[in-house]
Amino acid sequence: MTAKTVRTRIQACLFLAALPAVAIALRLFYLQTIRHENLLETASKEFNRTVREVGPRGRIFDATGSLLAESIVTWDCALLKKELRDPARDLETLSSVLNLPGKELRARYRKGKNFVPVKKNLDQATAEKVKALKLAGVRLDAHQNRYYPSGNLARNILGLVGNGRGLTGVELLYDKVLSGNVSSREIIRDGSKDGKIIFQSKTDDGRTPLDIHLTIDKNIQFFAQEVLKKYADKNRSDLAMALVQDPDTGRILALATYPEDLIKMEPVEWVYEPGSTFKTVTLSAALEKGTAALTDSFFCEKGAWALNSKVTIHDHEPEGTLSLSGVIERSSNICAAKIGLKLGVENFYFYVKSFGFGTKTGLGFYGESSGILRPIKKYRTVDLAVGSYGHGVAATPIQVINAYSAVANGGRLMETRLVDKIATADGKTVFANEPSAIRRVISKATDDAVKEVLKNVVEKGTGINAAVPGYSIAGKTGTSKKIDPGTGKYLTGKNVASFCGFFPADKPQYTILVILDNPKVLHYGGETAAPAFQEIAKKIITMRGLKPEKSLLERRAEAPVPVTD
Amino acid sequence: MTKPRSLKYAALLSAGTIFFIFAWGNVQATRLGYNIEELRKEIANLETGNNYLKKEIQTFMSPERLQAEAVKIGLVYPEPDSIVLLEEKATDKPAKGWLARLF
Repeated sequence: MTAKTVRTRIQACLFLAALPAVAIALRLFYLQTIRHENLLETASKEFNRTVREVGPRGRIFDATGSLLAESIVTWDCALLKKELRDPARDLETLSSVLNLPGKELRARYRKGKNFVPVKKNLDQATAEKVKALKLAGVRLDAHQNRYYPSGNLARNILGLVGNGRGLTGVELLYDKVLSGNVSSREIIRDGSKDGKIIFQSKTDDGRTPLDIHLTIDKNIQFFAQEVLKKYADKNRSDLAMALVQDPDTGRILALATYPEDLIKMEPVEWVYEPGSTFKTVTLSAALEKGTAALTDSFFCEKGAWALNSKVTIHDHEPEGTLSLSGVIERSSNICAAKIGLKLGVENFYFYVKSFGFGTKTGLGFYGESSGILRPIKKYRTVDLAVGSYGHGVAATPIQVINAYSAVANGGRLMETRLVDKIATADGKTVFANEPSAIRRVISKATDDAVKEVLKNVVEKGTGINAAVPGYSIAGKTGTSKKIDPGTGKYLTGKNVASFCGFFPADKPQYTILVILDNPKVLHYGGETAAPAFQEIAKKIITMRGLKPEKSLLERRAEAPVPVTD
Repeated sequence: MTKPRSLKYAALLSAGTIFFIFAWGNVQATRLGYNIEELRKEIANLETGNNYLKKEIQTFMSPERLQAEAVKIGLVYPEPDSIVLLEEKATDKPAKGWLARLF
């Protein structure tokens, strides 16, 4: 064999050996360059995932800095039927860890196609227990959930959250402020069975949720809720409300309803005829305009007064001649009507509007009502007469307490405040809600006179059950008939009982309104709402350590006055 | 002939080293990626655990719970007239005793 032949054979072998390598190289070139983009996209879909997450919502605090609502991570547990290895044993184990009846879980398992929801909102400890089981086919999905550390405290104010969005109450009203940021996470996993994360990058929309500090005082709110439940249950009322306000600043310290409604904001949505509590407005207007004076006397027609051929006004108790203060102390509808008629429609209407009736408070809740106030052009004599004692006009509880706070603070109607400030998570104030006066309604002199009369109501009038020995309380009872919304006529035997007052009367710090809708055991404001007011006032006095007035400590009541009005 | 062959070996070795360093770097990056993710998970778990502990504290301090615990041990909410308020008296005279002077 010649050298040339050997070389040729070697070259041929090399060529044959190189052929597969060249083929592989060409294939690699094709995949890495020509098919590069397509394959990269396919690989990304398999190993990369973009996950959208909603971050935690902002917190809600009360006026003292106590936490009322916060977001926390919880887990939803679910099963993937196709991945369970030993369904019978796995279900048994899971039901014991999650405290679920085994029968119920098995029934749900049988009904489900592949994905079977097991239990929602597991806390961290329970989720860790489930993870520790290391059961194939059991999924735990983490998500932000809202929790309320104080349970039912102020829940009617806070409202509801669903899918990370506020649905009702403050959660809805301030949803844009509270909403957590939305972030996208790109995750790269390895090819193992568990798909361990190798790398992830996160981008978000740059927003940070803010915290809301309410004007609500959690202790006063608790007192209001507790007392309200007691008196609502005792009197078997359909609905009860208690509002507490700082009259100097308009800040709402408590807003309690019973039964609690997490969907409606009843103190701003619900309307009722305020009844005799409205006499304070008539009294204030008459004194301010000079159409009545404290020295005036009024004849109360012995309990029945024919206004015209069709309308007769009645008092709950027949009265003879009363002073102006006596008219309010005894809550005479007849004399209140006479005061109103003397005041005149224009003056009456002016002061009703000045006290904030017929206008929304501006808190911003979507269902807020401005109340019902007939246009002045439609006001007839009978409307003026009955309106003077709080019939024929409808108000929201928040309007009534605002009006009484105006009397309490010397005659200024204040803007209602429910939010104190908005701050970042580290406490830096972004927005502070300062107190603001809307207008002066009555002069200081008139206000002093009205306060004296309202003090008399509690000392010796229909509001005697609201008195707290040693403390000067001023207020007015109210009992109005309920209206059938269908026919527009008054319902027999169904009342709305209320009491609105403030204390200490000379330098008021708290205005309280208690309303009981359709109480069935006792019926009048002086019997039902006034004692509830007294109990809330006592608790606040004790908590705040308010000093009693020595001169009032040994005060005795005069001859008993019927508490009907 | 030796010199060109040694150059070829050197070039092959250099290329091999470079590829090795590149591959080693990628492996390290993946390993560090796992470590970072484990640490991230641990941080998230600890933060969540911290939030749950804070939640427990807040729950214990709710007025409803405090009242329930107080009632269990026989406490009642006092009436206004059962509280004695001690008034602070402002004084210009300095405290006399050595113990008072300490404070």
